[in-house]
Amino acid sequence: MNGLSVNANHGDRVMLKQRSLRLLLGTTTLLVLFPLIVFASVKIMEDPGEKRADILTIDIPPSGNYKDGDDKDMPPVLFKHDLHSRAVEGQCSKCHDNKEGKPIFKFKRTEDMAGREYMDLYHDNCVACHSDMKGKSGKRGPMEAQCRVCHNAQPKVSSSREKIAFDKSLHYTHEKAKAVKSGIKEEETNCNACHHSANIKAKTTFYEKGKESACVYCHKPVAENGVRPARNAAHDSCVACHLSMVDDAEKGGPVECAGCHDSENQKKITVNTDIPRLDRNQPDHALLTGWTELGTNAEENKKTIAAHMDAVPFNHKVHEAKNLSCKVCHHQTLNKCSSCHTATGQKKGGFIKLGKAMHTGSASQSCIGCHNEMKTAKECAGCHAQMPQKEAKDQECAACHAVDVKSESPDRLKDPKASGKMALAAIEAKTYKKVNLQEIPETVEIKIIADEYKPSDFPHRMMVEAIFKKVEDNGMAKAFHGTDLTLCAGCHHNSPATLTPPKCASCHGKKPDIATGKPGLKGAYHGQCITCHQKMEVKSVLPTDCTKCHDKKE
Amino acid sequence: MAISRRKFLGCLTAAVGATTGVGSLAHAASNKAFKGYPDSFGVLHDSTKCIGCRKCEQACNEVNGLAKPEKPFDDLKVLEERRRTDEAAYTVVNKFGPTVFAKTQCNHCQEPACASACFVKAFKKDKTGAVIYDESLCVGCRYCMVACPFNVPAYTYNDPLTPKVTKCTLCHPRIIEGKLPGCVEICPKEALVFGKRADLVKLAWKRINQAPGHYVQHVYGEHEMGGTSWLYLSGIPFEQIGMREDLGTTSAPQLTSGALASVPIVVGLWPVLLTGVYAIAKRKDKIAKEEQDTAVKDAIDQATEEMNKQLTQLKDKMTKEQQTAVANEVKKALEEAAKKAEEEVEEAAKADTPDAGKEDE
Amino acid sequence: MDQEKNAYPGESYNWFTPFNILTAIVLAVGLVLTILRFTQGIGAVTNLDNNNPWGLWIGFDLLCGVALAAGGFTTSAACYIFGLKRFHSAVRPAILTAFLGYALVVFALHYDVGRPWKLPYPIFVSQGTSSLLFEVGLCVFLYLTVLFIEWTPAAFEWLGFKGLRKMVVRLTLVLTIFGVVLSTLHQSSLGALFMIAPSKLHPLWYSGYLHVYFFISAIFAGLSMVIFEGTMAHKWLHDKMDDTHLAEADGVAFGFAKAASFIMMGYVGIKIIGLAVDNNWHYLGTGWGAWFLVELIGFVLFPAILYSAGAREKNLKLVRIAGIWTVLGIVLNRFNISMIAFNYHLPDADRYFPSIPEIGTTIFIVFVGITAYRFITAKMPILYEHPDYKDEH
Repeated sequence: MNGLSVNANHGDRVMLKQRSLRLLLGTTTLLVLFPLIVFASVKIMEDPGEKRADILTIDIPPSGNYKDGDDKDMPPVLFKHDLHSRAVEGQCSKCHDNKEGKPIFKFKRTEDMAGREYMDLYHDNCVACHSDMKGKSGKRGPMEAQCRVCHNAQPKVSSSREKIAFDKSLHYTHEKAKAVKSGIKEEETNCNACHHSANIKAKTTFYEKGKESACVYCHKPVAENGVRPARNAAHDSCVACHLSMVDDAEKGGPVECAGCHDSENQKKITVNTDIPRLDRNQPDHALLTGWTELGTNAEENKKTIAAHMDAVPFNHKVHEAKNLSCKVCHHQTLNKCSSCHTATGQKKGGFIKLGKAMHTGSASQSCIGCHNEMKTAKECAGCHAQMPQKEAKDQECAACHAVDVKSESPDRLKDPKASGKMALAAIEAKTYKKVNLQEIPETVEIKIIADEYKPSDFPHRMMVEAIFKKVEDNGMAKAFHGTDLTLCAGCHHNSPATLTPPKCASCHGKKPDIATGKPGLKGAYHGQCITCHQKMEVKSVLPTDCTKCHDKKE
Repeated sequence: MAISRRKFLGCLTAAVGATTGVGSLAHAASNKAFKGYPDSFGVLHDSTKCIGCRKCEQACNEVNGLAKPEKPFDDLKVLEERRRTDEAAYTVVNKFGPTVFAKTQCNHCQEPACASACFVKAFKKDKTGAVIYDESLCVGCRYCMVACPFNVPAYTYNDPLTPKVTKCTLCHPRIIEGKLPGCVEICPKEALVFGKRADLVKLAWKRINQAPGHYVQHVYGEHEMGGTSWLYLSGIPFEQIGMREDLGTTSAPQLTSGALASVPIVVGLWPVLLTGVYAIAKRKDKIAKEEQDTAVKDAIDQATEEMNKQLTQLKDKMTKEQQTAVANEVKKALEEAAKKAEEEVEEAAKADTPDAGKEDE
Repeated sequence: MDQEKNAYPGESYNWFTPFNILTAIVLAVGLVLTILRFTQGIGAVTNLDNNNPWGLWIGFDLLCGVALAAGGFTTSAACYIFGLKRFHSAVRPAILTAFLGYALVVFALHYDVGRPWKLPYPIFVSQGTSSLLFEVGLCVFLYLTVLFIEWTPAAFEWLGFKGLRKMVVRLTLVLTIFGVVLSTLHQSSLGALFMIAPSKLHPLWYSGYLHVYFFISAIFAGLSMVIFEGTMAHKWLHDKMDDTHLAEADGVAFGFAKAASFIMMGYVGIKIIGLAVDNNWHYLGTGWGAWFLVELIGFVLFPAILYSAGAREKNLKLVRIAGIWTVLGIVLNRFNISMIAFNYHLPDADRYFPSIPEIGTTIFIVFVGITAYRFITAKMPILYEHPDYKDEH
């Protein structure tokens, strides 16, 4: 019963063998090819490709005169701008029209159009150019019927574009540049070369001296009320100007995308150090009161004044000098904060009340938020990193709200110069009480939990002197600390600031207290000392150098 | 049906009995969750406090009487390599950055994978929270090592006759005396805090809330693999301190309870199904045989009838033939007799003729 | 001629065939390795470590051993439960293979487990009923007993214990049913063992259906092993086979080929369902995905097609090739789950590969099995019917 291998004749057997062989070959091919195909295709899909700073995404508007058969679902085109600008050897006019000598940064058009025309514009012009010219390598760009080369659903490029921060330093570079010329003969300063105010209804711009401010205050990320988006405004102004300087002997600004937007190139931008203060009629000192306006009714004014907290004397001049740009605090306008952030909140201020705007601990444009950020510097973090974060209501109000204005005359308070003088007086009146180092014990023997190690001879005075030095040049720290004794509280915490603070063992037991989170003495000592060293990036003693602080017992 | 009623009932009873007997094998998937023994202990490890001094490793080694390692515990260069727990190290500290360290050891899960996997119950989750290993029962199958999602248990492969599984014991003998585990006691930074697990969870969240920028907003071990007694805080994503974040919150026993639950069903159902198949097959064969028998019988009957009919016909024919033959013979005989008689008569007649004078002479 | 089959080899019998010499060498080396293992520990003989506690001995000796011994329950179920009497001559060899297979699994466990004298503990001393390994152990223990009892008629016939033999034969149906129940349980539990470690097994192999996959694959593993062994036995033990056996042999091959093909197609289907349920399609584009497809398409779907072609065209050679291919596929699947896709996330330096002594021990155990099989089939009525008990089934 061996089937056909016995009974069949030779011819049948050969035929059968051939069939089986074919079957074997066929399925072997399938078995080898199929996994390879699946594997390779998904592999290709996953490849992330290169990162460039000049990628522009060209996608068609969702609506407009499309015909049946137009594929609106084609993937957007990732356009490499610098590649193309180099290919045309800097002749922007090959793609960009001109208006009044300045290029229009739209592709071969002055106005945006409906979908179909937009699509045709791109297709016709791109393909025409690709057909006309070859690149330096001899390759042409994609042409007719090579749709998917541009409309690539799995593009091998992605954008690495970084925003460019136009800070005081970069501004000064432009301010002092001879190439940036004033457009108005009477003006000595060249501010009007870039800064303008706008009449939106009339669609005109004009220069208003004394009203210069940051571009982004009006030019938002998207177009609003006929105002160009920030990107367009920046490119129209900055790039156009840079382009006009390309042929000059002097070095102009970058004209390629990567020149401003590539993170490596950004690092190469010259940083200016002694930047003169920008004059915008801003106060040197100001008294922050909290009320928006005082009226003419004296009784009302008195009530308003009495209903507010003590005023905050604000050293505007120092804050200007210490920050990279005005935008750090003046994030939407150069006007005062209370012009948008009213006491009860309004739409212009995003319904954020003045109190919240000043006190939010996590926002860098808020007073407390910025100060919190400053506390993370390594000179400060040794003490501050170990302090639990307090909410605004648990902090000391009097540190800022220092000027009692209840008995002041509303007229004086209304006058910025007068109130500014009041603020200056309060600021200068602040004294910093220093502590005589000799009153600090030179060494302190910590022996309460000495076990495997000998008692530690803690060089107390040396430590304190080092910390005092760090605060000496920091006006902000001194303003908030008020006295050197505050610094004692950095280690001698949760107790009054005094020259004779209580022993650590008066609060810390041998074992940690889980309910309150209070460490035991060993954890307290080591935690305090080692963490401070770590936060202040002390290199001379590592956390694991046990014997640097206490010798081992024999 | 060849299987008797008695036999069938017997099979059924056996099946039911077997199911009841192995009922304890099943762990039906339900929405019950074990939240841990109340008042069980745990340890909170704040890895932001760890300085990588390895004193915990040293204390663990001494408390458990383990073999001294090649490189001493104050050799911090070993931290350059990633290490895991092994036969002589119930806990290790690893370095994940210039100032980032974390300690790793058995996490004493609330629903331990090792205890679920062990087929001799050599692991037990004690009410103190510790997961304890009983060497006297262990067969050495090492399924616990396969099951542990944290890759903690180690095995003394080089011990030929008494190999065992090794892992952190949460210093069970010490904690039942009210003492602290060795590592906790010695840690100079109090990066390890021992206490009731419920309290430690609260403490962990308190620390996070007091310094939100300092910690990742997650307490590792609160829910991972159904919750562990060892809880962790970190300043950087846990994945970066060697702790897997893809383990999920399902406990290990729950992962296998479905498969286990199907055991008694199979034991109850299969005998019924298989006996049924057998019975059906047998019945099919029987019917086929009966049909075959009937067909054969019918065929035989038919054949016999045919044969009988033919026989009768033949018999009739033969009788007829015989009769005819007899009749013919009789006729023949009669004719002959007649003929003979005639001849005799003739002869007699002849003798009685005038030729008779011959008679006197 | 029947008497001759039972006869002892005479002076003319050649003991020193090449295979016998090879067997002797392997057994000798195995003995040395055994001594090494029990005097110096597992670490001296294997590459197992704390990250890879299970290696070749579990991956092959246990997992493959149990899967490939599944021929016992499939053949006896086909013959006695489904009533397909034409497979009858294949039952005894299949039962013998299964019995030896499981016996060898237990034998191999004595090497792998740290304290083998405690192997009875899970059943008799402390039952870890939450563990799937307990499930495996209990069922393997019971099933080994069942197989042993199912094998004894052959031994009794050889020894002439007629009464005992009759008693055991009466239990056939009950034992077969019990055997299928136990086989279902432990074949699936072996797969379910790995369900406890989803973080260690690659998502393409890990599934909530692992126990189902193992059970179904065990069925066609068993069927394929019967065909494969039939091939081997025909080649090397032809003289021990009686006419019935020889007459039915091809029918067994084709019948099992049909069944296996059908079940394997179903298996591919449920594997794809598993992929869909867990939404793991994107893994197919990775290197692991390619390997998974090689296993599923190259070693399950492909032999299934060969099986069906062979059964349809009555091409025994094709069926035999398919048999070997499927067995390799089962081994590949068990290896993938226990060693290759297991701990896939660990860096290369931490991955496992068996050591030479480890491989040597495995080969030794296989040869012990082959030798036992040769002895038993030579002496006892496995491949033929004992003349005294002909037709008494």
